Amino acid sequence: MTTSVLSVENLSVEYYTGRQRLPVLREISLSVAAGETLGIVGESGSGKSTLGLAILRALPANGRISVGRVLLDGIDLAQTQGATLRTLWKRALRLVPQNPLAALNPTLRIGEQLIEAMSGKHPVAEAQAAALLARVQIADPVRVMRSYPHELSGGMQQRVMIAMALHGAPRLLVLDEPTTSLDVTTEAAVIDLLADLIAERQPASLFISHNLGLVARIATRTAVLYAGELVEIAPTATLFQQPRHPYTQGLLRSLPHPGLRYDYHPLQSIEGAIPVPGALPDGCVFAPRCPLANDRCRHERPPLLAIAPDHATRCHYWSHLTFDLALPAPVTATALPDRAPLLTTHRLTKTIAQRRSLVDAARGKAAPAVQALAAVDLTVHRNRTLGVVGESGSGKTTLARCIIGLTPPSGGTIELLGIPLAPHIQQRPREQVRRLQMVLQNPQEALNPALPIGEALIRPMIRLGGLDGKTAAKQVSDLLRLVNLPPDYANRRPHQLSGGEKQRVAIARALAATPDLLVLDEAVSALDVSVQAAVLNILADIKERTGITYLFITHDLAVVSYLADDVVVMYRGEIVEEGPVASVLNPPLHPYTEALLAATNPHGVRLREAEAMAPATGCPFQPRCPRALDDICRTEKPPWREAGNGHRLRCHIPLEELRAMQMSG
Amino acid sequence: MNVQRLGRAFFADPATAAGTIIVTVFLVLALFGPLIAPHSPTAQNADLIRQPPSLSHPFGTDRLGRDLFSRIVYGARDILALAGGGTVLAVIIGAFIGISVTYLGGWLEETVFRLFDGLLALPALLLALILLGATGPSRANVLLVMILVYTPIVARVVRSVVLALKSRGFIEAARMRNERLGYILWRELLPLVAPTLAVEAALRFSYAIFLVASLGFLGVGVQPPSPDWGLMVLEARNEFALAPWSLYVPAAAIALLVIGVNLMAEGVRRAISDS
Amino acid sequence: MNQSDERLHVLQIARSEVLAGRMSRRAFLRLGLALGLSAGATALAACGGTAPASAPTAAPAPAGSGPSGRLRVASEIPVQLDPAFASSDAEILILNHVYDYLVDIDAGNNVIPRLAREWTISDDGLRYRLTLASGVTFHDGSPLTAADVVWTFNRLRDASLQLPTADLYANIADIAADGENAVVFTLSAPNPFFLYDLSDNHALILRAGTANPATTFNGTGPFKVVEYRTENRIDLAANPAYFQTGKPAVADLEIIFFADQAAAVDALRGGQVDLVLRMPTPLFQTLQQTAGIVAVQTPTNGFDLVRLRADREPGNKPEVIRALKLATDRQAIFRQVKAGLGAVGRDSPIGPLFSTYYSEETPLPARDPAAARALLASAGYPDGLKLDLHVPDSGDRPDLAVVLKEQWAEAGIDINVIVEPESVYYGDNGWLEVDLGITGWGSRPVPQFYLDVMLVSGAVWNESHFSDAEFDALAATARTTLDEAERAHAYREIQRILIERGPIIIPYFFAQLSAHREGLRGYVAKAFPGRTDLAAIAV
Ligand code: SF4
Ligand code: SF4
Repeated sequence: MTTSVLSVENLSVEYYTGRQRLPVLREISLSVAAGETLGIVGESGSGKSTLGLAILRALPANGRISVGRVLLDGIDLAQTQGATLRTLWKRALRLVPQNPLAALNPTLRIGEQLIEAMSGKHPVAEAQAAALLARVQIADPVRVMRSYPHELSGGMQQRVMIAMALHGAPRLLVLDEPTTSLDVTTEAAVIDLLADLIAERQPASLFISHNLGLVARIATRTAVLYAGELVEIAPTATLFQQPRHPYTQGLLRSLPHPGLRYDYHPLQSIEGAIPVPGALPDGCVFAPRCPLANDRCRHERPPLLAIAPDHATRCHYWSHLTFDLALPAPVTATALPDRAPLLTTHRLTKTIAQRRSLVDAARGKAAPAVQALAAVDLTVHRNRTLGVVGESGSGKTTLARCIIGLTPPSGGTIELLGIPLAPHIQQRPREQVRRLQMVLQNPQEALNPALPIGEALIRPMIRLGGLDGKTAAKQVSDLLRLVNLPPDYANRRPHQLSGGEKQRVAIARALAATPDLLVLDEAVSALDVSVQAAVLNILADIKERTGITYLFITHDLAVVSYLADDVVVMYRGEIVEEGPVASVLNPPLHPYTEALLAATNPHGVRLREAEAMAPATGCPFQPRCPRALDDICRTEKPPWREAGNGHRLRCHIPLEELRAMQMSG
Repeated sequence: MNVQRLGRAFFADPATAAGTIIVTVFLVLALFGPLIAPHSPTAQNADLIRQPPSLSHPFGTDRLGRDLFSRIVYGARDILALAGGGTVLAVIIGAFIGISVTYLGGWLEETVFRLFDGLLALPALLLALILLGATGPSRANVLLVMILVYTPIVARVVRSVVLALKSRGFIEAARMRNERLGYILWRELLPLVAPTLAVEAALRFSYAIFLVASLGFLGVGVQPPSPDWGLMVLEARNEFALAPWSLYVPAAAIALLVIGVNLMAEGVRRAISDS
Repeated sequence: MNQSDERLHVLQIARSEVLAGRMSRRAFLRLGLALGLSAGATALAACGGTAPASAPTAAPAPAGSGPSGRLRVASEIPVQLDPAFASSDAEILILNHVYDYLVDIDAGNNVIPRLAREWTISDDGLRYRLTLASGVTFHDGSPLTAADVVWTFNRLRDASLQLPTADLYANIADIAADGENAVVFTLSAPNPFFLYDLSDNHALILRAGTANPATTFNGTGPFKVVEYRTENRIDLAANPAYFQTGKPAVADLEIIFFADQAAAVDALRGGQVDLVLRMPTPLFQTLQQTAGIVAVQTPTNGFDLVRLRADREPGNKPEVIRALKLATDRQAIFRQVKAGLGAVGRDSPIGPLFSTYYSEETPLPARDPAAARALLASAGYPDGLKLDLHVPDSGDRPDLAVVLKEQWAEAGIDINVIVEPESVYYGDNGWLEVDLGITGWGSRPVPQFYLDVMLVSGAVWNESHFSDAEFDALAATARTTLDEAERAHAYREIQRILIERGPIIIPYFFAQLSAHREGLRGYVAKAFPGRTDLAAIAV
């Protein structure tokens, strides 16, 4: 074993709120060698971000290291103060935060900030800064150095942050969810870059993330945090194949792995919620949610047991655990029904005027407009789940809001069972409103904190179902049961619910009106994986029982491939590919779909980041397309190509060639 | 919200408790004034002019031979009723306008709040003086002026809260079920605005007391011979050397009540922000 | 009188009201505008004035070896110092010591000599010949001659200069020098009060041809200006060549300006000034109890008037007026509101200072609230009366209102007190309109003024709208008769009528309140403090 650069010994951290002392981290021990990346995974509330901050000695004012040592090259950071600490921060300790925009100074140009960070004072520093930017694969360093942070895309900002973090010879690099705010294709490129740079500069790195897949790609070893405790640590491959802690196993089983399908493989979720600091159970912290927990677990706290030279777990019964993942389902593309579609859109268009500066307005410049939806033709079939995938800016949320009537389209029509819908929800008859319901992304904002859950569920029944208050109240428990919540939740208030429970209530509320079509706009994206699994199971279950139709909007291809029957891939307000899930994703044909899928593959194709605007006439994907043809892609709209079974896509490259590429690649 | 916890948070702080005691004492004076005051607040006694504090006149008498203690007791009723009434009405109207107009938005919101901004461009006291100059001094007009002065402030505070709530998921959910406007405004939004409103009301109340006293002092508020504290300070101004207590007594009453209400307001704010 | 004369007359009266401090300048300007005059003309008229209210005989100047010591007097801040525009106490106080009047008026309302040592009046009352003191010189050394007097009065009456005194002296047909030492005024109509007019506040004698009267300060007066610091003070030194022997008694006179009367009183207590000429009652009472300070009160003819409109309900019912009078305890008011300073009133403007006219012949009915209540019932108000009482916020008037409210409540009269800023009370003639109001009236040397302006039928400021044929006839007699006995009789009858049925209550007459440090000799307080004779004071 190489000597470690960082070694954390028995670290405990407390937060003070009022008179209370809350233990957020308990007895964490780990070590990281130079050039090694240790993944830290955990759900919200696990304490993983606190761990990063504690190691960097950057805890908020009410946080304090109560016990333990943080040794960096033998120096105990926990005991370091003042000038020494500042020198260390400058020379050796680096952080790449989740939100680069918040970390950059909005009033200074990138170049100035970079030079400042490098503490360079002479013109040489400028050249060095430019070289550094080039090193993080920024194509035009000179232009970027002259830009202000807000003028750069999220990916570019994060590259700048990485450049700042890697100048000189950092000893310790803490990456706190560095790609969470990025699109998948950008994320893939940034992860590649990070892996590359860590190999080159050899810092000891901590990669903190809630995303198991991401950690698997970059980390040599991985530690799992739960409720402030390190519950398992092992080389990444070992951890993913032979997890020896029930929590780790639960997390892995919650993931919609490629090849799993809702109708074959109900996901395994972890029931219950993570305990809050200050209300930790006596014995094993995981005992309240552990399927194997017994009395011993509830009273005796398990130690972190080294079960192999590099593998430790905090479970009494690790040796009893077995683990294997479900086998993929047979690939069968279900045929589309002949019945009339439930909902169609025809050339649905939405143009959103951007704000223009006062100067531009004075000059009489027209306000720039963004084409959020460009003549979208969409067909939603009954009792099927239509997944809509795309990155931010693809127009998928606008599409959902236009259908519901929260955002009026600029052009085109929407028909429900052949009847055109009014653009505004207020203008639609009650019956139409009832048939179309939506679950929004953020569960924290979904429920009115002032109203009990029961009332939130009753109102749609009264307003849309035509029920009187009493009858509606009787149905509340049925609705709660539908989303696997006990009936007494009707009397609770939102703040007594966890995020996943709130989202389940939001789903129940949308179902209360017995809609025909439920639009789910990133409805599981904000949830932790174990909770997400439960919600996905519920959705699958409800569809099975009620024959409801889902329009499932997400950026997460894994979820779509698990839950959707059909899929629509959108890019910059246009549909570029659509069809049954099995045939669209296996194998991907359209270059954009291919890139989306490749983003989770360590060796897949990588996209350039979107810089220039899409050409007015050609293929919208052309500026980033790795397979773009020379002229035609820039000048001509690609044609629709039918791939059979309702699968079609828009690309200048003929189908056969696209298929052949997938075979060879 | 847990009322008990709120209560505990409220009284945990000694300053808040002191404020509450002060305000309670004045409230008792106001409510049971006739039972407590030994004399009529306006009864004059030409033989007992400017008597220093004594057993029969604990706060002394003024230049017309009126019992200052009785005047303070009855004055408490006056100032609390006026300031309290003005605050309550301004908070109700401000909340109504703030919630409904902000939720409806559009040109209506633009117009109403431009107007309010215009009103708020003037200091409250100046605005009150202008309005009272136009309407003439009377108790009803003071009340009206307080409503006019404080409604925009309350509405603006409410607006900032509603603006943040307007785009929340639960409001969109309400729109997705064709919810009644009244339900959205009063059942969904009002309870969420209520804590802010409570803090604002407490704060406004302390300002209102000061405003009533100031208007009395400037002679445009409550008219003599009402035992208005501000008016009493005004009238005692030239008396200072002859009968200092006639100035000290109403001035101390104003200061004490304002401090008490302020301490309480701070307590309300802390209790609400803590829970 | 044609319409424009009438307007001018109103203005003339009004400007004296401004001077007497009863009407704010702003209210006066409004009055002028209401009468259709240009704002400029009104502004000028506002600076006019009348003769001093009373001037007790000056104490004999202390004999000594010439002026010595320093006298420091507190004053309000003067705005400007051209005698022709002087209006405030402060301005007149300064000018009265830099310049001289032809004649002064003493406490008994008698005209006494100053620059003019003697005078003769022709039998037809049209020709006044005044002889000047001899050996008088201006501060620049040049001698005073009749030509200077002619120049001064021609300036004051020159209509083209638009000075406020032009109206006052419009009746003068001609002014001529009669040799070096005598001046002859010829009037176009007889004016029994012409000598009083000659002592008008503005009528200070300047040297003929003075170019900048506001800044030249070349008078014949007892003091010469040493240094004038606007907003701060004016320092004067004794004029060694002053024509009145024994005056001035002090070598240096400092008039120190204070924006606030309380500050002036503090300065007196702190020994920074020797004399304060004017202050509110409570401050005066404080000084009365202060060792080392002499508080001086002087009775005046000024009063507060409580009046009810008699031309409409409820004031048109004689019972109501009698009821109000019966409900009022004037003695108690005098004690409570005025702290016993001044004099108790008898509902008539002819006060005790007008010794030959004042009468206590008609008894004032004793206070009897029950009788008042009965009277109201008989007048058709069995449940009493409810009335708004309008009162300006100046002086002790709000206190008077409050005391009245308390007293009248016993008789079933419920008063709602409405305190208004002076400018509002007098603005737009509101004070002439309201039913029940309290108005302050300044001190006059002659009682006829009050009758003519305030009480005769249709008088410009007949705020009570009193109209009584018997009263009008008596007032006319008093105005025109040359028989003093007949006039005195008419005034007695007038006092009886006002006690019986005048819709007015005059509860008290003011005292002028001043104070000085002990050791000051020769100070004589005046009803109008601006005309105080500081030259007679020795330290
Ligand atoms: S110790 Fe017990 S409760 Fe804890 S994880 Fe292991 S089996 Fe579960
Ligand atoms: S049309 Fe051209 S640019 Fe567009 S996806 Fe196909 S190959 Fe790429």
